[in-house]
Amino acid sequence: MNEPVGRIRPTLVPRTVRCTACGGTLTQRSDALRFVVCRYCGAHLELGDVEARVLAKGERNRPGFAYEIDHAFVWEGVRYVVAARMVFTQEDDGEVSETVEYLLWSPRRGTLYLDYDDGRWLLSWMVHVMPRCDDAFSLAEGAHVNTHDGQGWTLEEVGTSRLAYIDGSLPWVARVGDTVGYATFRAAADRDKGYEVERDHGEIEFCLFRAVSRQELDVASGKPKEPDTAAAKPREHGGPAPSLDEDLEGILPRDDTAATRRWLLWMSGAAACFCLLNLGVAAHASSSAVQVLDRTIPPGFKPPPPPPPPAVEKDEPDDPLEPVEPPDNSPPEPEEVPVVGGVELPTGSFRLEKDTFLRIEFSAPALMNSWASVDVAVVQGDDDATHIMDAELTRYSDDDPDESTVSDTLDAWIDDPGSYHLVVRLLGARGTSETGGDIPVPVRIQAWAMPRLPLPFYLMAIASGVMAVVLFVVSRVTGRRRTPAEKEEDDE
Amino acid sequence: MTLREVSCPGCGAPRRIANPATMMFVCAYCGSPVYWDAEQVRSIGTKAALTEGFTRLYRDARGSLRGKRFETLGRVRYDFGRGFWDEWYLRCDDGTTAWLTEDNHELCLEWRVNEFPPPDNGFARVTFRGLEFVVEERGEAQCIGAEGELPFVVSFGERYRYIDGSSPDGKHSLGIEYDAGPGAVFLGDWLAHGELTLDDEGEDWT
Repeated sequence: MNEPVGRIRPTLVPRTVRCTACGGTLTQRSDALRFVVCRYCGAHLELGDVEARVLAKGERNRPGFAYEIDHAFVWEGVRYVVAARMVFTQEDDGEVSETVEYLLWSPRRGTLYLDYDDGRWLLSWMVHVMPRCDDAFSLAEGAHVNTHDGQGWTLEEVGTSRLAYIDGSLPWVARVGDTVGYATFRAAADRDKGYEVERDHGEIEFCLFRAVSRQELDVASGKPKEPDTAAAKPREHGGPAPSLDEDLEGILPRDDTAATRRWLLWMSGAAACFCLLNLGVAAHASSSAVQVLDRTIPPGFKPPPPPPPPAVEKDEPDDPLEPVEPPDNSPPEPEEVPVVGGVELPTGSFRLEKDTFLRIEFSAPALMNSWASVDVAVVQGDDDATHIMDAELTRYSDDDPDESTVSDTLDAWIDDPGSYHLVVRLLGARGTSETGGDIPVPVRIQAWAMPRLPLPFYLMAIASGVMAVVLFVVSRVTGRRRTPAEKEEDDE
Repeated sequence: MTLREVSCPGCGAPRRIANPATMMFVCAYCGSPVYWDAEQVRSIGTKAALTEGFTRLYRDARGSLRGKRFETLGRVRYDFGRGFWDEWYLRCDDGTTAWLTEDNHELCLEWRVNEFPPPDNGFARVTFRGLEFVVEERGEAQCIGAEGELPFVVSFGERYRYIDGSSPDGKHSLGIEYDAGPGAVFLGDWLAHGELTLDDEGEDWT
């Protein structure tokens, strides 16, 4: 009889959770992981069934680490990945030392702990073997104790560790500032082996550990062998331990994604502020505009005839022998074609300063089933036309309202100070006649002068706005950068 | 082997029950927890499906426990506030059943003993059946999900206090549950990894 066949193992599909603080997408490798630090904003999140709850904001100063989250290790043929990284501080007689701990996790084997402490790498794992004493924490340093499995130990240190930093994810909920009491023993026969009793929140745990050489670590982590930089540096016990950055500076890469993202967001915010400031200045400049012209031209308006030009005496040539220029028989310039229909008139003059922005508005609110055409020249002094522009005003009852135009605005940038006036030619007709005549309704002409902001100002405003948007988008893209595990999977 | 076939009252999916001790199952299709009384099959109503793939054991897996062949019938998950643990219900090929606790991938084979726990007055050590145990943890747990077949009807959301401990030699485990009644005592053995093997260990996870 054939033995029943078990079900195929369900696939391990990491879940995706969204950071409640910044919206970043995080990978949850196990549903047993209850706590995760957002890799983008550093927020500490407690993972619930439905959503992640923010426990604390992210740390601004992230210490350097030798190994990144998701870095893989193989111990005795079993693959583990770095699930979390923690920094603990211990205080002894006013001196603070530091221990870095990597939580190595396998969905089939559970957790191992890789510690960097006092210049040595240690690998530890949980056990339930207990010491043959009532209270390991009340023993004096140097005391000898046996555990119930027959091994002998010497108490090396009793103290309290404080969690100072954490990132990654954990199968339990942790908070920076959590403390754990510890009693560390060394094997009487082998100084590279140890035993530790820990207690926190009424829970007591036991673990065994052994020293790991840098070379062994490199083999386990799949890295090429490198000089034993970290382990080779002697360190005075009890003194403040340099961070791993100091030990491994220049050797190990650093993951600055979160810092980069924060920097990008800062820059985006600064650019947005700059853009808003520019817009504010522009709004202020607009509000300080001075009206220099307001005139309404009624239908059928005829300007008074211009005064006759003064008689010009014909100059006698100084030298009768000098050749006389032949008469100019070339055709007149187009501007010189006489006006047919409509009305052309000069407005009153007004003074404009250097670098002024002149805004001219034509409006004919009574326009209906008719059209009006406006040609306007900005004239400096008597006859120096600096700008020539035109506008069309139309409104028909069967038009789409969006297509009707009963007012139009023309802008001119004035570079030179002086006296200016407008020469306006108005033409119009009722119905759809293409032959222009007198304007059918009154047309109002208004002009405002406002200080012109320098061109770099506008360029800066545009540039800062674009920069704010681009930086924000880039920061979001950076927030969705693939994790090392995802990259590894893609590479495979 | 006697087989019963019942239909899920939620979605109608059939399920064949081989274990006569099974009192409840969670429908593999719709996640409805289903139990039966003398008259009919009933649904508890609350969805209780658990995600799979993250544990060493899994429903309907086959393997060997201390040389004895078994299959996993079901699982109950408990939340103790700062994390979870799973309790797996196994049926061995010799017809016996067993419970395996998987807590952070540590495995413990447990069985209930016919003794009542002492009142929880904060004791640090306690003796059962001549074996001394040291208390390692106290807390409050809540059943938050289940899957597969189980020999009792799970009360989702029900809370109870618990005490966990081990014998000083680290070989045996103790579990005490304080519920509405006088409480229950479970003794067990911590298992080394090699004491349990699965036909599909899934060590090639990525």
